[in-house]
Amino acid sequence: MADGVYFRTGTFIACLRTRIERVAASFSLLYSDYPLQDGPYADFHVELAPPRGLRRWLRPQVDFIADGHAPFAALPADQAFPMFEWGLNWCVSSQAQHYLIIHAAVVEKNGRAAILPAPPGSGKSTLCAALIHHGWRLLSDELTLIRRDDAALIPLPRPVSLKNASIDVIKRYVPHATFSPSVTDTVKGTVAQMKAPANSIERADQAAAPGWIVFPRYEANATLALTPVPRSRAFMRVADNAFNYTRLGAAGFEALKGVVAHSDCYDFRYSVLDEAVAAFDRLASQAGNR
Amino acid sequence: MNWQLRAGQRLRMLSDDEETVVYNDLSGDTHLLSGIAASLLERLRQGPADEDSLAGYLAGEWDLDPDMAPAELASQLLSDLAALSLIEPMPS
Repeated sequence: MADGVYFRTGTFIACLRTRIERVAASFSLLYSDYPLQDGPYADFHVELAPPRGLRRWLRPQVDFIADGHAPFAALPADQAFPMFEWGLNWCVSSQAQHYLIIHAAVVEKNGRAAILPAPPGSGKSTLCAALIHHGWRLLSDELTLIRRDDAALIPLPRPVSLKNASIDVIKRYVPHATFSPSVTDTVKGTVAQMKAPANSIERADQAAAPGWIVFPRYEANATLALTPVPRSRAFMRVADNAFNYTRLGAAGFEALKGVVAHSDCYDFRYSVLDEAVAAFDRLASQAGNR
Repeated sequence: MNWQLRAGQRLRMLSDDEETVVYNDLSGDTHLLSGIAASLLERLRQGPADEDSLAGYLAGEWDLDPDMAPAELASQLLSDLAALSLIEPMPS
C-alpha cells in the first residue's frame, strides 16, 4: 500500500498510503468488499506513517497525515489502525460541509432509517452492531450524513468501532462476524473494528428516508423501555450531537427539521440485545403497516 | 409599551404539541420555547402590538382564567423573548 489504494466508502473516495504492516493487514481484512477506484482523484488522501525525527527511534509511534498535514499528535504504533478509522471520521466530519453531520449511528429497514444519536458509552455501537446482523442495513456507525436539500440520509458504511466489554459481547452475539485485532490502552480503552456487512456496502449508493430518532442507553439488568420524546426536544438533543449544526446556519436548521418532522422519536433503554433487536423490528413492522 | 419582532431577522420554527424550536437566522441561535411563548412570537410576526392587546390575545388563545393574571404573564413572556433578542420594544 506504499503507492496508495483508492477505495470508495459510500459517497466518498479515499486514498490510503502506508508501509505499516498492521494497517495494511487490518485494511485488507475489513475493507475487502469496498469497490476500488483507479485514482488519482480522492476526496481524502491519508497516510499512516512513523513520525519523522528522533522520536521514531525512542518509542514506535504513528502519525495520521491528511492531505499532507498531521492534524493530531502521534499515537503509539500499535494504535495505527484505530487511528486510521478515527482519522477518516475526522476527514469527513471536518470537510463534508455539504451535509449536516450528526454524531450518531444510522440503520435502515423497510425503507426507513433509525438514527441513534448518543454520547460515548451509551451502547450505540453495540446496538448498531447487533441490528446490522439481524436484518437492518448499516448506513453508518458513527457519522449520520443528512443531505441538506431534501433531508435524505446518505450511507457511509464503514467498520463498526467497538470498545471494551462490547467487543466480546458482539463476538458472542454475532460469532460469524469479522473483527480486527483488539488494540489496548487507547484513549477509548480497548478497541476493535467489526467488518461491515457486504450487503450494506453494496447498497451504499441508496439513500434512506428518516423514520425514527432513538436515543439509546444500555443499562445492565434494566427493563426494556421505549419512551416517546417530543419532536422539539428531540431536535435540540440531536442538534447538540451535530458536528456542524451551528456552522451551517439556517441550512442546518432546515435539514434537521426535515429529519425530525418525519421521525418518531424515542428514548430507548435496553439490557438484552435480543429484546433490543425485537423492539426495533416492531418499529419497522409498524412502519410497514402504515 | 409596544412590541415588535427584532428588525432584520427571519425566524424558522418546528412545533410539536407543547413546545417550539425557533431558529433566528440573524443571531444564529436556536431556542426551545414553550407553546405559549411561541404563540406570542407568532402573533408579533403578524405585526407590532401593545402589551395590553397581547395579554388579551393570550387570554383568548389559551383560554386563560383571569386569576392567572394574563397581563403579568404577557409581561414576563415579553421580557423573556426580549432577553433572547427575538423581540424589542418599539421606539416611542
